[in-house]
Amino acid sequence: MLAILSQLGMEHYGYSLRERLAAQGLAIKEGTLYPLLRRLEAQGLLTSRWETAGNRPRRYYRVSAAGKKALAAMTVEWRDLAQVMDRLLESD
Amino acid sequence: MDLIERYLKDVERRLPGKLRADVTRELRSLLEDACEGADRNDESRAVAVLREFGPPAQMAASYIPTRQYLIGPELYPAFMRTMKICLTVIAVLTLVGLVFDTRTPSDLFVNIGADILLGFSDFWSTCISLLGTVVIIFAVFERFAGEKTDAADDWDPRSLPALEDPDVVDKSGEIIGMAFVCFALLMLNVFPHTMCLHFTVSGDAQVLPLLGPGWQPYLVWLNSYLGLGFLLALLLVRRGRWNTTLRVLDLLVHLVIVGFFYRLVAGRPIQECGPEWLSEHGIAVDTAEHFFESVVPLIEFWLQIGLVIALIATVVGAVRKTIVLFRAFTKAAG
Repeated sequence: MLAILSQLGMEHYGYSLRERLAAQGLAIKEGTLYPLLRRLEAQGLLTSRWETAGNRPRRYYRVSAAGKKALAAMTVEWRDLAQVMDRLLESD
Repeated sequence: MDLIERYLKDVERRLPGKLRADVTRELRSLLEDACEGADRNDESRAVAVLREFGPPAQMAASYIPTRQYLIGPELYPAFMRTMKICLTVIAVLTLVGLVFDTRTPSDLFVNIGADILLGFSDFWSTCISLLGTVVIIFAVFERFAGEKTDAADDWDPRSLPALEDPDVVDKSGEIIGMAFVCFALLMLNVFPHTMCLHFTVSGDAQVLPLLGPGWQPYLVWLNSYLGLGFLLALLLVRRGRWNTTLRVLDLLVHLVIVGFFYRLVAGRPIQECGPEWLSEHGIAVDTAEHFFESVVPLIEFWLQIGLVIALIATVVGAVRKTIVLFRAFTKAAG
């Protein structure tokens, strides 16, 4: 969820987002990613709109104002957790 | 790409109505993106992409919030099939029961309208209790067996159900229809006297033909409809596929039945056979007069309601056939 919100500062459609995440080393299955986008939108964390490029309509997603707040909060939590985990692993 | 369409259709039928169009549209766009650049006839590419997307039931389930449903996408198609079969059986049994009741000598003569109403009332209450029972059974299945049937690793997209071709003629259905038409034509024109209402008056058994003299002007319409319908069914069975000409003929034949019901609604066939006609059929004059004073208005009332419903249903059918015909024209032109 954090990964998705972090990449949707600019608009992406489902397939391009999946490619972008995969290119950065995070491969998410289609059956997980696409329904998750819909759920995040239902929770108000993303907004979406349909756009027809060529003859193919695509649904573009973007992080909403509420999504940005959630992203900021989750980023802090993630970094804190990562620091704790680093310390734990280094202490071994 | 046929596999993609079959996949979308299978996901679609498992989704709740409000999500159906939107989710299917998005999935189509995502699948087309994933297959971009592939040869349209390259099935292996579509198979690989669909395997990544996962089985239709699993994909549909992931779009529905977990456990906020009684019957999930896995069992929903089976639930709908079960309901359709059960409702058909109940409708047939109710109809048979009603016909059997009216053919059994009794005092139903004066209560026929109320009996028909009771028949409908029984039908609806049976339907509601059936719906509740089937929902409970499927909900129990959903809780204990609903999620165990989808093995994503073993799933083969080539096993997806085939798409229905709307132009293919259901030959067995047409042949059964033709047999029914022959039977109806025979009954209406050769053996109309066998269709009777049996009842008792003061303990004496009476028999009244259902189709009185007022029926004759309407018989032409019904014969035309049945005869033309038979010829159309014959053509359909021979050709095996619908085409634009056959759809035009189908619409024209359907308009005949619309005309038939319109004439029945506008006309008054029952009152045209007066007490004299009843007397000719062995019913005492005072009984016949009593019948026309007290029973005819009741029968007419229920008959009129039934005819108006039938007229509306046939008009809706004509509109639907016109839409299908318009689409066929557009498809042929495009």
